[in-house]
Amino acid sequence: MIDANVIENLLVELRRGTQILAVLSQLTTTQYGYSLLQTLESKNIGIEAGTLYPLLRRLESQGLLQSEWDTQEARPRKYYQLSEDGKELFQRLKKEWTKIQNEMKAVLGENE
Amino acid sequence: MMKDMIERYIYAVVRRLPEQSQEEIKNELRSNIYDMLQENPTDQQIEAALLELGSPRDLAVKYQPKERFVVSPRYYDDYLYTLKIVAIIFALISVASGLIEAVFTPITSDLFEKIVEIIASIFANAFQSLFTSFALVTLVFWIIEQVNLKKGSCEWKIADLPELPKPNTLKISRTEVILEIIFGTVFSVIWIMILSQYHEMIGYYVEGELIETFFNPMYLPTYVVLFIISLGVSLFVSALKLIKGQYTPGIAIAYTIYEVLNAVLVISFLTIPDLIRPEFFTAISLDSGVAADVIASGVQTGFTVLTVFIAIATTIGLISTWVKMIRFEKRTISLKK
Repeated sequence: MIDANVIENLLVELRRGTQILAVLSQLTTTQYGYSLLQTLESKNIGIEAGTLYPLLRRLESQGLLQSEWDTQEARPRKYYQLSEDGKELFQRLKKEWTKIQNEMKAVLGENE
Repeated sequence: MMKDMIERYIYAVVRRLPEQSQEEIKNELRSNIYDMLQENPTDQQIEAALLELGSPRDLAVKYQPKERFVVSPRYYDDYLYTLKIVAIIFALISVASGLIEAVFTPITSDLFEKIVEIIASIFANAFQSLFTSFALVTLVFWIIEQVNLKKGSCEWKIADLPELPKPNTLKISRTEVILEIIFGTVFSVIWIMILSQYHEMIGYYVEGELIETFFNPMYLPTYVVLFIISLGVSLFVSALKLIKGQYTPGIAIAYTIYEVLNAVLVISFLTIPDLIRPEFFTAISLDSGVAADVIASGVQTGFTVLTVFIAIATTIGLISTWVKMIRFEKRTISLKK
């Protein structure tokens, strides 16, 4: 019997890289943190709030996102959107993803 | 009450972060948390939202730009290893120096009281020196960590790889070298301490009173320096042995040079003509009736025997090392053919 923790860790590892791609994909239009979380959830992309918010900050500091505080409403909100660099990177990652999909299909197909 | 909970959570996260980013992250978090809640949320809803974000400590770690370590996993093994050796050396030195001090302080009070005092002070010393060694080793590794962080050191060269221990070779036993380091250091330090600080307490005593000291203090400072250098070199050679793990020609040469120099040092120390003060012999002669020059020549003979003994022991040690080396080299050469 495999340890439940081991399985959980492996699943988290497997998902980690794809999460960034999912986040980038939803930021072609402006979103604030919570709306992004909900959008992702509605598309069955599981990401924890405690992971998403720091991730947004990191992507912004890497220059992939640009952000703006909207102070018009009752409460200020920070809106994020892909920067030019972010758009470029997103396209590259998408291509890479397709490549990985094909490679994995080929590899996993052998075992069926 | 409810606002209080949220602000306390935010504070718990932000206080662990660099100051320049605190304000911004505070605002982000506050905005995100309120977004997760409806208008006028109940305490339970707030609690649920905060629990969903996870422990403030973990969240703060995710907000940290880089992973930070005092000693990273990459160095942890080396760290533990160094810590053990250094701690043992420090503890032994502190125990030994406690004993020396005890031997050289005159017994004033009750003997039992004194013994208890000595044991207590040795334990206190050992304890303190363990903490000191821990602090020192940790500091050194922390500095290594910081330096490597700046360099971004994933670089390594093939030349850095350790050589494979050849089959049935002259493997150097790690335990042996570590024992050598520990005892060598402890004895050297005791010896250096005696020569530098306690030499005035070695001498001819009558009923607990010092009549004449033994060593001529003129030569001692020079030899203290030389013995310290010798200790340094021996530690260096031992470190080489630990790193290489087997007798290579380089190590054999370093070891030979050290052994010869050390023997020369000890012999030259023992053969200083007026190492021992003449007054020392006179004092004994006055009390015992034996002529001073007879005593002097007796001590001289003792030193000569010691000198010869050291010379022979060193030579035997060196020859056996080299013979093993050469025999082994021959065997590997013939195996290659």
